Amino acid sequence: MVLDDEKLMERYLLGVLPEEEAARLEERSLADYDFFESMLVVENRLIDDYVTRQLPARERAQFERHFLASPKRRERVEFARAFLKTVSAAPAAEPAVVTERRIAEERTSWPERIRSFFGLGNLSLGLAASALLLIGFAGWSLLETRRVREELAQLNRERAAREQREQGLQARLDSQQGQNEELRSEIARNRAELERLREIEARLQQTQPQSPLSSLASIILTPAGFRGGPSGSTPQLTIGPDAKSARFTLQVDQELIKLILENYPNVRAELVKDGQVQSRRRGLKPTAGKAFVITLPAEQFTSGDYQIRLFGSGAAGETGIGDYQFKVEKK
Amino acid sequence: MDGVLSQTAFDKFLAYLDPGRERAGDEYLKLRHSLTRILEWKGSLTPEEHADQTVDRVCRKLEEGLVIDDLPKYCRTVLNFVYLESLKKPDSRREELDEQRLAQISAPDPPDDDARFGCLDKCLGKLPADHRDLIGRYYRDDQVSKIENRKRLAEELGVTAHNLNVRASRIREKLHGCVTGCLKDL
Repeated sequence: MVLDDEKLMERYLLGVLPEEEAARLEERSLADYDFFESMLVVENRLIDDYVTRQLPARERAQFERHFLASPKRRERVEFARAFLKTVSAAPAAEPAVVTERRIAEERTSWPERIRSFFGLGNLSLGLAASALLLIGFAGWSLLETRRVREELAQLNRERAAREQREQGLQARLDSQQGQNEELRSEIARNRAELERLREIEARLQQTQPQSPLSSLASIILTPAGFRGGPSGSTPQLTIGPDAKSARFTLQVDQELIKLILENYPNVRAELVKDGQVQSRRRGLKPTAGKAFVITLPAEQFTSGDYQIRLFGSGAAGETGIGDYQFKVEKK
Repeated sequence: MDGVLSQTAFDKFLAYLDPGRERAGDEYLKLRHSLTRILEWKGSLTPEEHADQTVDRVCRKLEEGLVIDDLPKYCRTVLNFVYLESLKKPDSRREELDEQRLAQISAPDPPDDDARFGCLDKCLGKLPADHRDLIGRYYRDDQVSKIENRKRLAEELGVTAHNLNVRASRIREKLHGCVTGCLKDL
């Protein structure tokens, strides 16, 4: 694991990573399971350092303020305390691979062990062994009978549960089969309609007025990771020599817009090229509840790849809303 | 939004994860695990429930015909959405951490929780011997430095230090799950 990644993970877990970086880290955790498991390693280390009082003061304060704010995470700390106390205090375990020497030692020493266990002292080995065998056999029989009875009971319970589950599934299957035909036709109709709408959208995007004589260049964008342009490629905006403004319509998922307006009403946008923020717009409001529109001076654009990042902030904090990627061709 | 998720929708989601059914199942479990822990890190009181809600909503969108180029990114967006919605609902489990409770947790030597120790012993006993051995040696607290100890253990097992850390973490996660279940049954 790269040291920088570890530091990022620690800062995320302590709640001090900026929202945008936190979002990227979460996305990476979902995309890369190895990365996610590394997060778990860092989390355990953080918890252990806290429990064993090895966290520096500043991190300790951050840990208590953020990490312990959640009941589930508090429970992990309490588990860690008991866990570390138990496993670190246990005597050093021998390797699971048993050596031949150890087997030989055990074979030669068990008679002495048994004699001393039963307090048989000088009694002969044969008598001691017989007594042991009898006791052992009786005990084994009892245990075995009990074990078999318990297994039978368990099997019966499992069988009853499975029968019940099967009946439930059969009932669901019967009911669903009836609905399936209806659903299939509806799905087919919806797909056809969706395809038709996509074609219209693609045609509209391709035929947006971008004449060199136009003073306004405009483009409709969807967030990156949802859908690219008509052929899945990055949308392109052509800005002619007479263009004064560039207008961007940033589409947002309907349900998300409602949520943003309720929790993160202060919406801002950043125009980014080559990792540098070129300009910002604040106080954005959605038009017709469907999209955010921003207009920027055409002169600030040069040919190349751009990104518009949308953020919302409010009492609940700050959140990323979407990333919109596009290319500019300046004529 | 509510209602039973159809098998078709879930199958479509699995196909997005991997064309092979068995691998898709593995990928689904990993995704669900990641979703659950991210929700826990965000502060969700019911991370597993919210993880399932997230998957349900993604499945429904796929069923509606949405084409998703970047599934992890989309899942993260929906996860955020589910979590934020949950904050709007009052929940008595959402307790503030008061000074007294903080003092208890952060005390250098708090009183032992017998129930937890009992469950831990029970769960340790259920581990395969080699897992118990690994955990015992990984967390051994003796004169040798922890880093040196773990380096030697990794060499002995023929794995990298990172791989060893991940193995220990998986066993610990399993133990934690077992102890949590055991405590609930008490």
